[in-house]
Amino acid sequence: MKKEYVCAAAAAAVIVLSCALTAFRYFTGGNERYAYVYSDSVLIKTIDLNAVKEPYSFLVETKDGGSNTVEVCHGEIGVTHASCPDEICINTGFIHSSLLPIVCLPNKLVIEIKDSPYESEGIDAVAQ
Amino acid sequence: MRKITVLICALSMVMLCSCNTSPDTPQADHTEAEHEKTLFAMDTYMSLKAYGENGGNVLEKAALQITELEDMLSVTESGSEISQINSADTAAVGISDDTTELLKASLALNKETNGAFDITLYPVSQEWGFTTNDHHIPDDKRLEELLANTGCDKIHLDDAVQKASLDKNVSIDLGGIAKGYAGKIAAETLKRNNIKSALLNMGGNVQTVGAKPDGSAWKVGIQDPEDESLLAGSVEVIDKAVITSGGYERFFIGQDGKKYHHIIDPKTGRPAENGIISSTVIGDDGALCDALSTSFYIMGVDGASEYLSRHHETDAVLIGDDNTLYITKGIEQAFEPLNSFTDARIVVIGKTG
Repeated sequence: MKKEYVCAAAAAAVIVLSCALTAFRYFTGGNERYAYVYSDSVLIKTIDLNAVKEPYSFLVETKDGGSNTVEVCHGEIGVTHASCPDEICINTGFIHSSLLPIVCLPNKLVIEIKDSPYESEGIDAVAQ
Repeated sequence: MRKITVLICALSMVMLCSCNTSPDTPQADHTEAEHEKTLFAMDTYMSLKAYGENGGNVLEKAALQITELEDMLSVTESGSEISQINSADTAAVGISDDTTELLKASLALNKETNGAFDITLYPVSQEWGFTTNDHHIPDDKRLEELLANTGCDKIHLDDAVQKASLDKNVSIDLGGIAKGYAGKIAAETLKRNNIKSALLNMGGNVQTVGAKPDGSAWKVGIQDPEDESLLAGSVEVIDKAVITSGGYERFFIGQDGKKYHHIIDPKTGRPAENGIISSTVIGDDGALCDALSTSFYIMGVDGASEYLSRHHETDAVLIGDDNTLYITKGIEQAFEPLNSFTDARIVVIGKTG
């Protein structure tokens, strides 16, 4: 009888723990918010945006002399300077979800965020 | 007591197992492997995803087809078939099956849209600087001169012998249909190779193959034309193309402080202003959807509605400049307005019965 009480108490503890973990994951969206920076289709940097404490920036240069300055902040990433004429990458602004990547066609720079599905509202792609 | 203990243990196992499963994660067919191929082609960045066995190899094939189509259809590559037609003065040029099909479809669509879809506007776009990013506002006289050499009646296609020629000083550009066509061709290749589920994002032109691996519909967001970071809505589709055009894609601010976008109205040679700020077309044929999304933007709500009332196989979501949402009956259930459009006025267009 005593053994059964111990089992029941242990199982109940597991339930409470599971609920707490599920709730934590739901409300925080998990800790997975990685930005992937590609230059000419080669992955050059992977950044855990949720782990960024102080904003910083870095330069991505192309073989042809083009460049983009990428700024990284807590939870978001953007291009703040680019050598390209259209500056579409800068105008995209800072991104914080997987919905839209930052693309600089002239310099072949792509920045994508891959995060938990909670933040993307179940959207698979964006028509734009 | 034993029964209660067993029940609690079973429940706790279920809870533990569900801990790592998000509400949006497919519950069935988790074993389908995801394959992804990305490429820069057709002046955009493409992300192709296919699910299931052999998906990686088939995506390589599809990507190769897309780059071959680009080489064939590009207006800037000197060796492309389109460049050869443009530089042949008035001589007839032999063309491939793909170019023949696209020219034939473009000429038919020109008629169907009362001239709104026009592949002869390239010199006008060049004059505005949309092809070079050297933007400026042309004067009326210059636009009149350029418009004199536009119009699909100046294109001569003999599809039986696969030859095309142009009147003097006429140039063509398939940029308004080529990406959608490439998506359609890539989707056909995937299906022929037994891929049942794929998502091809051709720089914002979305082509889906089948349903998602768990059997549910793909949910495609429609960008808010006034805020790039938000969505105006979403549509749920299976095996369809979803293609959006909007003036927000490429534009410049003129010296007069006005915004000038890249969708040129063939009647005026100026950026189209007919009350639509975003035009999304949903259908089976990606090429058709691509061409129609631009055409509806130019035609305005009345013109688009008239076309859609004659073509029930095509669906659309148009956003008016007063933020009214115009949607077809066929997509009514699959469409969900989002964010600032949640309370927008919705008007059903096309066939309403």
